[in-house]
Amino acid sequence: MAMIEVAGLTKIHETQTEALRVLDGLALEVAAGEAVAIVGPSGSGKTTLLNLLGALDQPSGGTIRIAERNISGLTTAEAARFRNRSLGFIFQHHHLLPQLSVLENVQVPRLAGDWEETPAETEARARDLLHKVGLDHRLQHLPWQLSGGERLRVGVARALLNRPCLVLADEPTGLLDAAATERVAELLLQLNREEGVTMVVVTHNATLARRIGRTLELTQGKLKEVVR
Amino acid sequence: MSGVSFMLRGLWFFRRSYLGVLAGAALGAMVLLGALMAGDSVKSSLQKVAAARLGKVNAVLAGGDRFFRAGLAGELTGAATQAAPVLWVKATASVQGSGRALGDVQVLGVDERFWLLGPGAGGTTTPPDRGFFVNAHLARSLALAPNESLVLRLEKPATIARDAPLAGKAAEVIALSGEVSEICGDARFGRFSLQTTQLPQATVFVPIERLQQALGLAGKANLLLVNDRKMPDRAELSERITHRCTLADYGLSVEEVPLAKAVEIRTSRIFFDRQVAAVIQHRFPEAQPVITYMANTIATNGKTTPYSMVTAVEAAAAPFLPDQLDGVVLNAWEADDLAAKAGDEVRLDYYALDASNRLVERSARLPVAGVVPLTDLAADRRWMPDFPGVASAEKTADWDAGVPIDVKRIRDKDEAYWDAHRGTPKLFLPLQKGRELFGNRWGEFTALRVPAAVASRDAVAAGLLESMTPAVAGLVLQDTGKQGLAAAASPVDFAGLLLGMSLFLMAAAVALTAMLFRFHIELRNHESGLLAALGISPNKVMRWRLLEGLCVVVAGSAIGALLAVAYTRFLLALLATIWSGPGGQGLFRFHVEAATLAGGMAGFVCLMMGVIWAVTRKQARQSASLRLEAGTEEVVRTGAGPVPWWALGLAAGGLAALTGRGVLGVPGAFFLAGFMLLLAGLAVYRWVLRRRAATACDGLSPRRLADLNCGRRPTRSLVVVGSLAGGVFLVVSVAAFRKSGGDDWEQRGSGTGGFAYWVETTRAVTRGNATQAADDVLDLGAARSHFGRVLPLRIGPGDDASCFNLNSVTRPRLLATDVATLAQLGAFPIKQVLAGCGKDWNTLREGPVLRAFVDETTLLWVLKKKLGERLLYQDEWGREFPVEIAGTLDGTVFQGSLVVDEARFLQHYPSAEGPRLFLLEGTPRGEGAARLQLALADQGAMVSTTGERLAAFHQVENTYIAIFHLLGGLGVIVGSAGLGLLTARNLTERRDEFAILHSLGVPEKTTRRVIRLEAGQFIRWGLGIGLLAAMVAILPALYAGGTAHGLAWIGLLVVVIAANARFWSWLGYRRHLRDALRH
Repeated sequence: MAMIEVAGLTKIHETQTEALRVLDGLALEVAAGEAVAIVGPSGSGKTTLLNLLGALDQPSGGTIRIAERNISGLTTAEAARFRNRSLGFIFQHHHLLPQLSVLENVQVPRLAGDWEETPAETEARARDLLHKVGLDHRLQHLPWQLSGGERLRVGVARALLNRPCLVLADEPTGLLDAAATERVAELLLQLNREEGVTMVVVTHNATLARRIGRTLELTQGKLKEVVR
Repeated sequence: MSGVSFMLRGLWFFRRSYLGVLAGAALGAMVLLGALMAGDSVKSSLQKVAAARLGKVNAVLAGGDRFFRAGLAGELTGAATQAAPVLWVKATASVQGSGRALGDVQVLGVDERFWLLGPGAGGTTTPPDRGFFVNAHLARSLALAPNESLVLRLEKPATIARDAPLAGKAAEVIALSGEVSEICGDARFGRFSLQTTQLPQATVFVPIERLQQALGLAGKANLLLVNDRKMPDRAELSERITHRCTLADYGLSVEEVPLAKAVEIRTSRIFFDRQVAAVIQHRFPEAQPVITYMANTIATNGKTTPYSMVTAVEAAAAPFLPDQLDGVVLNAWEADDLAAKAGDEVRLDYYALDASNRLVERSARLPVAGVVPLTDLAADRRWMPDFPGVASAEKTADWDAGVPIDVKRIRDKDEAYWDAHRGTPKLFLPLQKGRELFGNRWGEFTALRVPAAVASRDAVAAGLLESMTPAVAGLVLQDTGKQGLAAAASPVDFAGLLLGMSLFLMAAAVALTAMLFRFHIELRNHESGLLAALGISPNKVMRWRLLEGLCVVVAGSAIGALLAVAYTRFLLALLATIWSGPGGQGLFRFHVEAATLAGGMAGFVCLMMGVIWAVTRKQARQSASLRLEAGTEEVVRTGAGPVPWWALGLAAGGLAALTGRGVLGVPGAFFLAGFMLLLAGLAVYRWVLRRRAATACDGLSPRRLADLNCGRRPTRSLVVVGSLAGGVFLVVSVAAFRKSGGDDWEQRGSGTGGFAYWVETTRAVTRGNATQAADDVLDLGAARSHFGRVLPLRIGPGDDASCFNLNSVTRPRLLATDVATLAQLGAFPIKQVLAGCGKDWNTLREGPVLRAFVDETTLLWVLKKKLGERLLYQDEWGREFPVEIAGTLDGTVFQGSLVVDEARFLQHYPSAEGPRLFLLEGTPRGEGAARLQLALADQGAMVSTTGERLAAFHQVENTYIAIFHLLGGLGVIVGSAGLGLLTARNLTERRDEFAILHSLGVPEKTTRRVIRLEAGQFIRWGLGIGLLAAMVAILPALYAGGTAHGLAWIGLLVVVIAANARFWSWLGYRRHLRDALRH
């Protein structure tokens, strides 16, 4: 079963003076449980594509189907609910909330409310995920007390809290050194395997892309497979 | 973790960031609640004064110069009613042997019942027989101590206004002395006054019997104070009073006249009020009117008879007269004296009042129709009423009729006639002719005779009692309690006034708070973006932000409420510099109503939340991805956008508003114009910011970088420039309204009308006496030559509505004068007149209703009326009549009064006392005032210069302006503090930018210059927009006032504001630049 089916995806950024076609009839298909790396030069539209896949933005044309659901025409509220229930995000800058502890940061998605799990179950899941990313000794720490790699791992745990069918990661290792990058790559692949979650990782990092396996290159608004 | 705990965690974590919001909210709440609390305090203080002034009195039967039986009070007192008689007169009080004196003192003849109506349980002790009680205000004014001797000089009331012809001798002043045995405070009813004002009235309390005896008014009173517990049913009280009144209370008497076979009705006022006569004639249609008057001369055939009584009557009441009398009938004595016979023409000289209330001698020529013997009814001495000073005279030469009598003209035969026949008329004329010749504003008839065949004496008396009411007799029942409390309950709207004055300060505080909140929201842009990315709906995030804001604003408002208590006390102290209590102590006591506090806080919180919602809404609507990318940057549209032509429309609208002052009123037009011009200026600035960012530039310079930085976060820039511009607008424009001068007092067109002195006397001045010069109405004697023209004014009913009175006044005091004189002089600036009226004083003599001019300040701020509106007054008989506001005066000494034409005024108040107010020409320097004070000591005159009076008004207005300036200045400081905060914030947020500049080798000096240029730009635009809007809005005022000094003052203000803004930006710069440049 295809987790992601994208066809004819177009995104045009319009300014008052010009219309910039960032994505141009892009097509993509990712199977459930598959991990994909998307590479490309800066400004090629990688983050734009990720925002569209994550229902953070609306396409100018084409369709996006995630887990057999067309998300191209979702309202703001529907898109929010979809993200909250089905997607996980990992950001380069982690975006941890400075006022919350590590354990609380992981549980932030629950703030959307209307979760089937009880708060206790969510907390147990957060603890479990933090254990998996190796941060069970840091539960009550605040973000500023963590290293860059640790913050990223908190972000990873947060992305998995809602048992997403798809995790989208935007330059997750952009701020990490080589050793840390290796550990993160290992973690993502481990989670991909253990949680069975589909993963799309936008990265400049060739090592990470290589570790992930299937790699697509975004150039001139289109994706093409990178054959190794 | 629930949403609430997440929110609370946010509140605590970002507490430092929220501190500014808290401070701004506290400041805004303090200003708003302070204004409301000040309003409550003023209202409560005035209500206390009103309660102290009126005590338990809730109705008053006021007679003025008409006296009724003091016993009426006892007859009214019952289970639900307490009543006290008071004999009320005005006097001059002086401390024996000290030279300390005070005019316009009210003297109250009271008994123990008066004290029972006081506000508290102050005791019912009355002054001892030879002693006085005085109130605290008088004691302070004269530095009186208990047991000191006080002398009261008061005028014996006349039975009829002394202006009236044949009113009897001129004013008789008596002295009453006694020791001050008690000084009465408010609890002892020391504040008693029927004037609706918070200002205390100097009062002396005298035992009523002593005052009655001294004034020759045994058993009489002219005020009846009532505490009627059946408050709503005032009609019943009126009915009870009517039921208890006797003919004596109405000043009527009934006697049989056997020779006339009639019952004669007389009035103690000599001439029947037209109202009373009408009631009697309605009750007894057969009643025959009689007019008996004094002729100065009856002449014919070269012979004259001096000072004779003549009677106008119909033949029905004097059967000895021919049925269709055409001419006059002489009695035999007179015919003999003049050697007159039927067919001769006699000349009748008599005194009358002209339009200016001057006594003039007029003549009438009438043919002799016949002669009657001096017998029977023709010889009845009862034709003459009891003219004061005449009726009881031993001989003609002793007459003191209140008109000039040349005793040399009186012959022995005249004395012999007086001895034999007293006032028996020597000449009879038709009633209608008598009405034409002798009728005056007090009435026409001196008696009404009901034929005995129609009704007996008792039947006439009973009929009169049935028909008469106190109101017809000029005894007016006033709902004093209701009126007094209502006036105090809705005083000058200080809450509204201070709110208006604080508007900019509040706006600045709210804008600053909103800007700080916006900073906070921008600071948490990443967080909002993350929450959105994680599927938390933007509305939910917005709700959390607003709830956090609500908590901060509520906490800020609570702090603001506490600060408001201190702020209110400060405002009250400032207000007390104008309106102090007796002896100068503070009139105002702090007071706040729970509803005001709750309503004010709720209103402020709603306002703040509305503003916060408005500034966060736009940012919250941005997509998650955009916010994740933007961070603390404001998300703005790119490109210059179209030229804001609508701003020109706004500016044009502002100018149009200025021309619509007639419709909007001066303040409305001024504020609307200013607001629109400010908005136009800000719209242009916004467009300039965007245009600069969108326009390509040849090279990057520090100035270019500063321009771009200002446009980077346009909302912040607009808030700061807007705050500064608003502050400059208010402070500068209000400066133009400062009142000054009085330098042009000599000009007829100035607020003084060219008069130098304002003199108010305790006693009304009557027509004067035979010895004084024709133009010496004040009887100044030798001092007269030091002064020019004297303009007398009668003081009518109503309260002082000048800025000194804080109570709401619905009927300002009427000032009546000969407006033709003012028109001839072209005195006082007439600002505006009603459409269809001439811009001339003479317009007050026209129109179907009584017209008035009023000072524009009084019309706008006290009465809150427009030209053409009508105010209802009660005439002498309690009937309502309208006074139309036909025009406004511009800053004159008449502030607080309505000026009307004397002749038309007297139609409504024919019995009005003579003038008590005088404007005199002269030189308001040197010894003029002292001369006047000395010459008018017996009149109890208070002399001031018109310049002083205007200056006192200006002081009040300037205090308002000072408060406005103070609050506007605070607003400027808040706006400037915003500039400081913005500078600091920018420096903090742009650390990376400075680091890059540093790493690129850009010297620190250049970086500093960029920052200074940015602050400079805000100041320039803020000052420029504000100044331009202010100058346009105040141009008419500047043009009208010709105030060159205003421009100098404005220039100084601009410099101060610019320096202040520079200081604050420097403060923010100094504090944060070092940190920012520490790479």
